[in-house]
This record gives sequence, C-alpha cells and structure tokens, in this order.
Amino acid sequence: MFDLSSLTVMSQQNLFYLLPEGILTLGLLVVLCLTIFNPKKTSEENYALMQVSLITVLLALSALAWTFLRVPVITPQKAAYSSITIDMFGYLMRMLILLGAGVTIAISHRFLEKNTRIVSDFYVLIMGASLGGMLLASSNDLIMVFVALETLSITSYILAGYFRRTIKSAEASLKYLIYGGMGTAVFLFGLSLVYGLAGSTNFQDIGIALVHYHGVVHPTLIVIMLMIVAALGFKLSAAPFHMWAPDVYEGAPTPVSAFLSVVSKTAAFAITIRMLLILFSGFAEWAVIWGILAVLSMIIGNFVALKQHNAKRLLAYSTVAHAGYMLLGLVVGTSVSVSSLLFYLVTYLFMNLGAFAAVIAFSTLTQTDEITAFSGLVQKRPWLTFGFSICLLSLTGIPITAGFFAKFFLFQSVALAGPVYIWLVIIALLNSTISMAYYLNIIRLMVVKEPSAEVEAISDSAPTSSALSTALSFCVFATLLLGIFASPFYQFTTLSVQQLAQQRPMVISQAIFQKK
Amino acid sequence: MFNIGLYHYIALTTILFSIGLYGVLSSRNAIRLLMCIELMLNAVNINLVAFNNYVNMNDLSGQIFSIFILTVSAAEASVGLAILIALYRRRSTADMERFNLLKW
Repeated sequence: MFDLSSLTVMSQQNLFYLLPEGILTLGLLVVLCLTIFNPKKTSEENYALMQVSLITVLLALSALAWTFLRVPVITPQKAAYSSITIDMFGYLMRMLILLGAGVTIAISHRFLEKNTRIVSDFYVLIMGASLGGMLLASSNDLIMVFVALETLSITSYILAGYFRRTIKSAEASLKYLIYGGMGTAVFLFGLSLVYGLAGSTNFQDIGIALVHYHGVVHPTLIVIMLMIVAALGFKLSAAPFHMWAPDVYEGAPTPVSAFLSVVSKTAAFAITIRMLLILFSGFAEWAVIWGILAVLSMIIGNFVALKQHNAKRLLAYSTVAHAGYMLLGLVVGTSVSVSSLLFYLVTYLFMNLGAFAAVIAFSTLTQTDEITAFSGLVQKRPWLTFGFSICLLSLTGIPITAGFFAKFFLFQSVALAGPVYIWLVIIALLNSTISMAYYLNIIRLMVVKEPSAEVEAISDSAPTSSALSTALSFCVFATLLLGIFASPFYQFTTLSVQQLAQQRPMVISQAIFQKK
Repeated sequence: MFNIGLYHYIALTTILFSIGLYGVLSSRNAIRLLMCIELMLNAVNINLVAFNNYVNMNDLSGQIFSIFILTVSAAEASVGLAILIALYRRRSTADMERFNLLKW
C-alpha cells in the first residue's frame, strides 16, 4: 500500500544535496558497462571513454556548484538520516576531490595508453575512489565514515596494483593493502570503543556524550586517541606512519601516485578535521600528539627527500613533509589556523598535481623518472620545464606563487596563537629552507646542465597529449593566480570553519565564544 | 559459577586484537598476514555487538556496524588475495621478505 508518510521521510533525507555523488555514480556505471561489454577496445574508443569520464566529473562539479547556489547553506544541513552533513566545509572538500579526480583522469590517458592494454577500468576506479572521498568528507556517522573510507581505500589498493604484470606495481599494491588493512583494523577498534563510551554512532550524539570526559584523563580515551591518530596519520602519510608512502608512490603507476598524494590526502584531512572539531572538541591532549606527528613528518620528510634520486620517491617524501606543515594548523586548532590549513590544502592540490603531471609528461617521453635524467630539459621542452619549475617553486614557498601565501598564512596563524607555538614555526621555517635544496636542485638540473642522454633522445616530433598539457597548464595557472586572488578563497575557508564550529556540542561552543 | 559481563567480552576482544596485531607485525607469509587482519576485524565485531547489548539496547547501530565490517572485510580480503595471486605468478612465493624490490 502507498503510504504518505514515506514521502515525508524521503523529503527529510535531503537527497537533493547528494546530486553530485549521484551523477558520479551514474557516470561510473555507464563507463563500467561500456568497459565490460566491449573488452577489446581500439585507441579511439579508449579516448572516448576518457572523455565520458571527464565529462562526468565536470558534470558532478557543476552539479555541486548548482546545489550550492540553489540552496545556500546558512546553517549545516543533515541528509540521509543524518549520516551526512551538508556544510561549506563539505562543499569545499568535495570540490577539491572532484577537481583532483578530473585532473588525474586528464593526465593519465597517454601514460596508460603507452604502458598497458586495459585503459578504461582505470577511470572507473578513479571515479569510485573519488565517490568514497566525497562521502567521507561530508560524513556525520561512524558507519558512514567506515564505509566511505573503505570505498576510497580498496579502490586505491587496486589502483596501486593497476599494472599487475609489473612486479613493482603488484608489490606496492600488496604492501599498501596490508598496511592499510592494519590501519583500518586499528581505526575500527578505536571507533568501537568510542561507540562503547557514547552508545551511538552519530557525531552529534557522541559529542554530547563525551562532554562528561572533558578535562579528565581517562585511560580509555587515551587508547582511543592513540588508535585514531595512528590510523588517520597513516591515511595522511604523517611520520612515523608514513612508511608505506614512498614504496607505494614509487611502485604504483605515476597518475595513481598523483591521485593518492592529493585526493586521498584531502579526504583524510577532511575527516580528521571533522572528527577533531566536532567529535573530540574540548580534548587538549590531541594537540600534543599531533604536534609530535607534525614535527616528525617535517623533519623526516625533508631530510630523507634530500637523498632521493627517483623523482616519484622524492615527491612522496615531499608530501610527507607537507602533511607535517599542514598538521601545524590542527595542533593550534584556532579557527584562523584551521582555515589557513584549508587554504593550504587548496594550493597543495594544484601545485602537487602540477608537479606529478610534469613527471608523467617527462616519463612518457623518456620512460624514466630518475632525477638526473631531467638534465637540460629546457633545451628540448621549454614549456614543460617552465610549468614544472613553477610547481616546484610553489612547493618550496617562493613568493608570487600560491605556495608562499599558503605557508605565510599558516605559519602566521600558528605564531599568533601563542608563545608556545613559536618553536613549531621556527622548526617549520628551517624545514622549508632545507626543502629548497632538493626542489631547486631539480630546476638547476633542468635549466643549467647539459642535456642527459634521455633528453637528447627526445625527438622534436614526439606527440604531446592535449589533455595532459591542458591539465598541466590549468594547475600552473591556478598555482600562479591563487596567490594573487587569495582573499575570496580565504573567506570561503573561514566560513567553512565557522560552520564546523556551529556543529560542536552546545556546551563547548559557548566556551569558545566566551574566549573570543 | 560466575556471570559473564561486558568486561569479559572486552578482555576477549583485547586479547584477540593483540594476537592479530602481533601476527601482522611478526609473520612473513602474506596469507597469514591477511588472516591476522581478519582476526583484528573480528575482535572489533565482537566489541561492537557486546557494546550494543550492554551499553545501548535502544537501537541496533552497533550490530549493523558489525555487518558492514563483515561485508567490507570480505571485499578487502578478496582484493588482497587477487593481488597476491598476481604477484605469486611472477615470483612463486608468498613470503613478504622476498618482495623486496621496493625497500620497506
């Protein structure tokens, strides 16, 4: 029998807000069906499937913008039986994840065509992983967190082993799976203890239930914190849980490394920030643990990166170091520092994807990613050298580029938070100076040195993929322009953090207003 | 004799979880590693069901959570075994120490 009350339930679920995820799922299924029913594809068909996937991601992006403009989120909304929160923070993170997925699809096509016969499955997996990431970024329930996190993780394991005939790729995938599975199990044990303490899986209910424990050093809570930090630190590739990152980034196909270093990390930061600011707001112990992780990540990431001779491995350690800088924003935990951290995430997306796109372009031309092979690239491919240099300069934090402004805002907000944090800023500044050595070394090799044998061998007629060069130019332009037009983005991130603060359990949010 | 309460369940799951963690950290065989991860996940499942029974009987979210974990861990194990088979075809071994092209 048709029941009217079920209709009201439907409208209460606010499924309208999940339109981008719906479009992404549909597109994913279309590409999957086209892949399954036509296994032997010509090069043109593969190109068409790449275009379909790219259009799906762009449609999802425009749906995201449309839902955002159509119903402005003045206060955070709940959807799907309050297992999803719709707020500005969620919109920002979902936008970043979709942008990262789109750029990854664009930069991967030529690389895949050159290295494997099976091309189109890759786009299905990328879209599936981004779907998981988008749901993770807006989840409001422990079960949702787990399912979304595993959607992202399991597709990432498969992606890392995408070249299954290459031993390195399969090995990277197996290592990633075992580390990842262990991380998930530890995370889940922590979550089950949270459930035991609070008796609910909903973030708001847990937040209210945990208010009793504020200011009390409760042994169970310490165990929970350590377990959750270990698992999230693994996802963020923060030292000392970064061991998988260099191996996986080196072994996995380069577009996958780009995807993991950007999209996976953005989603992980989204859930970390959400859990910390809503679930565990009011627990000061976090700051100490994250502080240790931040300092270790910066030092280990930068010092080990100095010795690398493989460009992918170097970028892997550089992402560890960048995770360290970004964690500083969490250590302080003021609204200014968290919004600076969000701004850093935006710029990091473009500069890191740009750097990986340049490495992919280079390795498609020369079949190598050794750093010494980059020598003298400027004589053969001046624009590629220019783009790669801009991204590297931005990763270093040289003025004019967005990376400088991101570092400046972040370090300033940390320094202003109090005299205790000055030491963290000093360590971070020293570390960015060290990072200059290995980033600028690549630029020096490309510009000053005589061409290497690999660069000499590049023929002038070697084709450049239009999708790849468009994506690279997009990243470079964004890296250049974000710094100059920082203020609208900064306003957006500030608003996102304000909306996050609104979702805290009431007792705490009052205390914070009194502080101001 | 004695009543079985929540603490007994927590003790059981903690022991189970620790055995799993020890197994992951110490064993070299990839199949055994996957089994140890399953052991850790099962500890979590018992935990959730026990908490659901003793802490909050009003809704079944803990039990539903454990069903989700069962499903997803099956997916994870199947992906793991598939990758292992792909690797075994190349190297004829499941020994993690022999997968050393990438330095751990």
